[in-house]
Order: sequence, then structure tokens, then C-alpha cells
Amino acid sequence: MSDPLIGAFQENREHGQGCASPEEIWRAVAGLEGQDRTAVLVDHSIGCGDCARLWRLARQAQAESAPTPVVPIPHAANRRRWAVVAGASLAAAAALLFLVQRPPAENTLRGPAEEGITSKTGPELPRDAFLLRWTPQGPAATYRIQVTLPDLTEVDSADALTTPERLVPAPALERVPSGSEILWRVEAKRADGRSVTSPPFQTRVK
Amino acid sequence: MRQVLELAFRRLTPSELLDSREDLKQSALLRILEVESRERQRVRTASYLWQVAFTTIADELRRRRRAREEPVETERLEARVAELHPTAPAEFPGLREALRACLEHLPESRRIPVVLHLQGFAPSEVSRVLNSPGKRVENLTYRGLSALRRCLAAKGHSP
Repeated sequence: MSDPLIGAFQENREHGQGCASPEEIWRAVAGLEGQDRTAVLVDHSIGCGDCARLWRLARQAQAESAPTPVVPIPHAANRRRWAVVAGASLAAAAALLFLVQRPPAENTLRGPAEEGITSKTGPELPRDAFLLRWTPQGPAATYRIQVTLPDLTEVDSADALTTPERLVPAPALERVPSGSEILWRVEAKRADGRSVTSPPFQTRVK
Repeated sequence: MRQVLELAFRRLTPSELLDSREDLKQSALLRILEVESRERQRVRTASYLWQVAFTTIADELRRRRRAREEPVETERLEARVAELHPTAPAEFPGLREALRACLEHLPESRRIPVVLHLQGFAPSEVSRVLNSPGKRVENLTYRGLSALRRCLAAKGHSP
């Protein structure tokens, strides 16, 4: 990789217009885009250092990710193979359970403010008064909130909230051990139609 | 799942985003939850998790560029690129501009595999991207590179 041509090509820092989405670049790198569209995207990367960089990043990601076969639909003539898959799934489920039960890392509140939404909740709340609060996004804004465990098991969610707060029902936290971290994120729809999503916040259950 | 994401973010996060790596990882986790909620099924294959890591990082890079909240530091970026693809571009001033001009004059059938080669793609990867047989890709790349070097030589560059 000592070819100076490669170096000269990759040092481009210019930013082009009309960039493709990362998802589209990913598909192109995976060979899932049509030839014409792929050619357009590759040509764009000649003049756009940002997209060229994403091509390299996607290539690296796809090269390093282990190929995962599609899980086959059980077939009458292929029950043994299905049983192997089922066994592997059970093992994965057991591993996931183990991860869920691991003690969470020390952390209070994660995530910098992004376009206005910040948490107004402390690092720890009692389970019977688990009131999540955040900065308001204008008088007519509505909010959607998702609350999960670190393994993404959903604890609570709510939509069309008109006030910047959510009291997580105590029953939803019934099985969450004390000291567990809860992740939550808010999406606001402002009066002007814009949507703003917060970074994920983290609050511990007392 | 968390282990796969941890590995993906450790491998992919560029240096200028290292201070946000944990936040990005959490953001990716929530994206996965949203997709699973929408699709009503689990989508946690390793390749999908790597894709989510990639798109999360890509979105953040673009968001930062748009917001200009953290101006790109050329030195740090170059260090990261050099780490991934050791090169010596500074020895050839003006080469990049000439390279771009010459690339634009190559026929598309050769230009696309040559660009992918310059991006660091192996022949088998180029073959996959273009859905084209490996031998054909190698041939087009070789001939494209030869034409490219001739064009550059005509412009006074002999890399």
C-alpha cells in the first residue's frame, strides 16, 4: 500500500454536494446497488473526500465483520439443520441473559447536548418516582420517549407527550434490580415541524 | 450483541470521534431497538450490527461537519488515514489535482475499478462491488492504471 497514487487519492479533504446516504454507500460496497448507481457513487467519491472516506470505512467494516448466514426457514427435509440453528439461538439467548445480568458500568449521565435537548434528570432516581425530565423544545412541541435496559429490552415508551417529562410507571421497573442503569432517549417534534433527537441519557434505579 | 458493537466501534471510530465513542455506541443500540420495534423482529446479525456502527459513525461525521462544532483537524485525520493506509502523498505536490483530471478522462469501465483500487479495495472486493468476474476486474484495473500513469506522466508526474 505504498503506492503514492493511493496516497494522493486518499488525501482529498474536499466536501462534495449531493452526497449519498451512508446506507446507500454501505449497500454499494456490499455489491447490492445496481451498476449504474454504483458508478455514480464511485464517481462522486473522486471529488468528495467525505464520501471517499465513508467508502473506506464501509469496506473496512464489511471486511472485519464476520459473515453471518441467513437463518434458514425450517424445512421438513432439513430438521436436523434447524435443530442446530435452534441450539445456537438458545446459546445466544443464554449469553444475552448473562450480559443483562452483568453489573452496569459506573456512569452518571451520558451524551452531550444535541441541538437543544438535554437531560434535567439526576444520575439516580427512586423506582417509585422515576420521573425523567428534559429541556423543553418550545410551547407546541410534542415528545416521544423510549426507555430501555442496556441490552435494549424496552422498559417503557410513550408518544405525543406535551410536557417535557415522563413518569415511568413503577410496575415497569418492578423487575429491574436496584443500581441498574436505564437508558432513555427523547425525540421532539417542534412547532415548525422539525424533529430533534436527544443523545441517549443514562439514569440509575435506586 | 454488545460485544460485537464494542468491537465494531473500537475498530471503526475515527480519532476525532474517540471522545464520543460510548455515546455513539449507545446511540447505535437505540437505533437497533427502534428498527426491531418497527419491523417486529430481531435483526441482530453481526453484519447488521457492523452496519449500524458504520452508519452511526458516518452520521456523526457528517453532523459535525455541518455543525462545524468541531473543525476537522487535518493532522489528526491524516494520521488516522496513514494508520489505515500508509502512504506518502506529501512527496508529490500537485499530484492529486492531476490524478483527478486524469481519472475523469478514463472510460467509466476502467475508471470505477481504478478508483476502488485507489480506495484500498482488494480485487475480490472490487469484483463484489461491481458484480463482475474477478479476472475482468483485474484486467480493467490493470489497464486503467496503465492509462492513468501515462496521463500523469504527460502532466509531469511519474509516481
